Parts: sequence; structure tokens; C-alpha cells
Amino acid sequence: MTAADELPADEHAALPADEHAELPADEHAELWLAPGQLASWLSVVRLITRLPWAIDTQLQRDADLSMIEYMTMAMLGEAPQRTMRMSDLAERTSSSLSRLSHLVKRLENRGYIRREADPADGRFTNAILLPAGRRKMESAAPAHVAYIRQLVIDNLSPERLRRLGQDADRIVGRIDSPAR
Amino acid sequence: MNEEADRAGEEPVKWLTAGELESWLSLVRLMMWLPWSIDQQLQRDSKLGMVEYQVLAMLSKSPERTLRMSSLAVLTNASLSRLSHLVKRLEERGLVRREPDPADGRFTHAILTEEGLQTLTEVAPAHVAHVRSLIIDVLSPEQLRRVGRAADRIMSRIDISGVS
Repeated sequence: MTAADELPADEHAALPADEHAELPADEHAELWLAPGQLASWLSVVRLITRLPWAIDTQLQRDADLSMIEYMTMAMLGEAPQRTMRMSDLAERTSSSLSRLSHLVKRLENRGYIRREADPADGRFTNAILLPAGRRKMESAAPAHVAYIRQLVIDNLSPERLRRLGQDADRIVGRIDSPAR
Repeated sequence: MNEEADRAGEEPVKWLTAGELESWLSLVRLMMWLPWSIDQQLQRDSKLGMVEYQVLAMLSKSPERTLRMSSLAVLTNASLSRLSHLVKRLEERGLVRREPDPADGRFTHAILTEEGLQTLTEVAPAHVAHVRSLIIDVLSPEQLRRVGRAADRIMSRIDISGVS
């Protein structure tokens, strides 16, 4: 969301000359992806399709939670008074407000979260993590963190991880989302 | 919370550092927003979802525009049951048809119809332009390659035996 403009100016300059040969020369080629581009794109597609699936599978199996449910409760757990406005929570969990409302309702039915009008401004709704929700997170977090470490964090060098995050930010920064 | 959980587990939990968490959340945002954005564009311009588009694209590149359903599932990252539903919908729209593998009736083939090829040809330019604007034009060739490599590395750790 922010990193798109921070592309170091020397990244392109540092490329060997033949890298540019991959770039399309004529109008037709400009439309389609070059083979190298296509391979990288399909790798990204695999990642965005299968990684959420893998994480959901782990969380459902070990904690009966989806990835977004887990993230929602994790964000609340870190917030002061374990309370956040629904709109901030939607932003932090990359969720639309309507999707988040459904999700929070389900967590409310399970006794993990409650909602109330913001005492400071009744136009806003706050979500609050309840003690049962805290206990749920305490039991769910260790296996989840270990799984993320295994798949991603410990699987990439710190430098590669950092760069992947930056590249992800660059892409997400281009996405025109109604929730932001 | 973290310390309590530490005491409860046999092994101390290696929590994410602030930097690791930041990178992870960037990746999570990518996983949430990128499929959403691709779907938006495809639905708006062609009433196709991302996986539906992939089904048509993968079939178009295959000999006789034909693939076994099980191979198609692997190529489109879908479970076989999800793919079956999805191909059924494409079949109802006349874009794909299914028939038993003539060589081995236990397998089912998915085949791209003329109409499916026509549809793909119509919708591909806008889709490719969208992918370009989000990714290819945003990352340098080297950045794009390293994203692809990191993605492959992560994928190699995922046990997909349960997918199909």
C-alpha cells in the first residue's frame, strides 16, 4: 500500500543487459506475457490459491477457526483494551466491512467476541475480544505460528522474506479496493 | 498471553519478531487482495472467476484442448470436487464439455469447446492487461523472478496431497 513508490532507482540499472531481451518488442507480444513472466505469474497464482488453503486447513483442524477468524482475534488481542472499531479491524484484516460483520457475528455466537456501540461516538461499532476468545487464541497460536514458520518464515532467509513482503506491498499498492 | 502459552507447551514457542510479522502480514494482504482483484476484473468483463479462467486457459494450451480432470485440478490448484462443480457450470454455458477418457473409462476428460476458445480469446486481453498493471509493470524482471522463486519455495513445503 505504501511501498510502491519506494522502488530503489538502481534495481533496473543493476540488471544484466540481457534481462531486457525478455521484454516484449512488438505490439502483439506486449499484450501477452513472455514465458518467463508467465512462469512467475503462475507461481504467484499457485501461492495465492494454495497458501490460504493450507493455512485454513491447519487452523480448522487444530483450532476450528478460519484464517480470517484467527487474524481478527489476533488483531483484537493486540489492541488496547482488546477493542477495535469494526472499520479499523476490516482494514487490518484485509476484509470488507460486510464480510467482517458476518464473521464477527459468528465469533460472537461462539462467545469469543462481543460488539457494542463506540461510547465515544455511537455511529461506530466496536469489537471486543472476550476472555473465552483470549483463551482460544492462547491455545491456537503456538501451532499456527509454528506452521507459518515452517512454510514461510524459516523457509526464506530474512532478506528474502523482507523482499517478498516489499514486493507484495508493491502489488497490493496497485489494487484499487473499495475497503481502503 | 504469549508467556502463558509458552509455559503450557512442551517447547517454547518461537513467536514472530516485529519484522517477520510485518512481512507475513504483507503476504497475507497479497493473498487476500490479489485473488479478489483478479476476480473483480474477470467477473466484470467476462462473468468468469479466476479459477474458471484458468481452466479455459489451461485447456487451450493442451493438445486437442483436452485434459484429464485430475490433471486440470493440479494445474488450477483446485480440489477435484471443487473443479467438478466449476466445470459443470462451464459446461452449462457451453464453454467446456466432459467425456470419459477413450483410453481409460475410469478417467474423465475436460475439453474446451469452440465457444470456450472464442470466449477465452475475447476475455484474455483485458485479463492480461490487468495482470500486467498489477504485477508485471510494477515489479522489475528481477523482482518478478524472485517473487516467483519465493512462491515456489513456499509451495514446496505445502503438502497438497489432500487437495485433490
